[in-house]
Amino acid sequence: MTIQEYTQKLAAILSLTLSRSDVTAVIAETTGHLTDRAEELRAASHSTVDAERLAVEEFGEVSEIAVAIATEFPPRPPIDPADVWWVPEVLMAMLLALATYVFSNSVAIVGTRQAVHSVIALYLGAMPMMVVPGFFASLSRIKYRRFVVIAMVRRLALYGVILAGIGATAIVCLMWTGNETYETMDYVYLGFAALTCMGYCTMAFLSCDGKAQDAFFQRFRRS
Amino acid sequence: MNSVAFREDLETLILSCLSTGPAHGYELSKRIRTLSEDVLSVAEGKLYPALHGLEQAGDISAEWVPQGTKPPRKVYELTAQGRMTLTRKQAEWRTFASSIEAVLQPKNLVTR
Repeated sequence: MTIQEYTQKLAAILSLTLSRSDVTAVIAETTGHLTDRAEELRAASHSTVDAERLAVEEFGEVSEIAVAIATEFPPRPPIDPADVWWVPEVLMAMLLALATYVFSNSVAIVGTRQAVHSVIALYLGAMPMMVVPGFFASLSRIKYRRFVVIAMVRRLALYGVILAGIGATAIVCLMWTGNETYETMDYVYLGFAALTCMGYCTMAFLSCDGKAQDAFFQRFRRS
Repeated sequence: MNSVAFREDLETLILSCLSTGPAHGYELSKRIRTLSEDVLSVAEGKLYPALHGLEQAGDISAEWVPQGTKPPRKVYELTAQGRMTLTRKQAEWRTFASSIEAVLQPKNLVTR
């Protein structure tokens, strides 16, 4: 194995857990060491290929070394969505404003019942847009969860599910009190709300380092 | 040549070698070999995790130093905290070595 092949393998393993800058630093240090050793071996009349192979062999098995190095760089804890600034709130306001503009151009919002109905339609139509980015962010590797943007979209998803819940409750209340006819669209709205909630629950379930899953399965086993 | 098997021993050797002056990883492994008169060797790949661990602990500090036409190298230096750690580890090692020595000396064997 050449020095380049060795460092490429090492970088591939380390990049699973380490940040890009840490990987670059470790690889630069390793390359420097291996190059020095190969030069020394060449000076001792080894061929270039042999010198690189011996230098790499002396350094150690790549996966073993990668694990030993990665242990010294424990991943920093992810940012809690509750700790990020107010950007999610601004984004939510902008998203709802945009949705209102688009919706008001297509449907006339008049009268109490229709207004409630329209707002519900607006909320429930917009909510998946707020939850979906958070859902995908939750699927990212733990090392990316310390990025503020990821924390922001996850907090945005929380607002999404709250507003979807409000919208769904409003529809159910209107149906319950007889102020709403059972239209096909109502079921579509409720379906939207259910999907949003399911998306958020999946996100919450996946967006951690396995602790929630462990707790869930332990509870399941106990019951 | 004996390879240094235990992480703690390796850390003590690193701190001791750095007490003679700053060095990068490769230089350190050579220093260990030279100072031990080729008796001890360090598994080179294991040297770096130990160096990173000592750096995280604050016993050594590191700086990227330009090397002329070659790429810069990460040079390690002993910190004040590292000096204290080294003094403590040296004392521990001497106590351990003298205890082993005492046990190995035939005159200390008690016959009943």
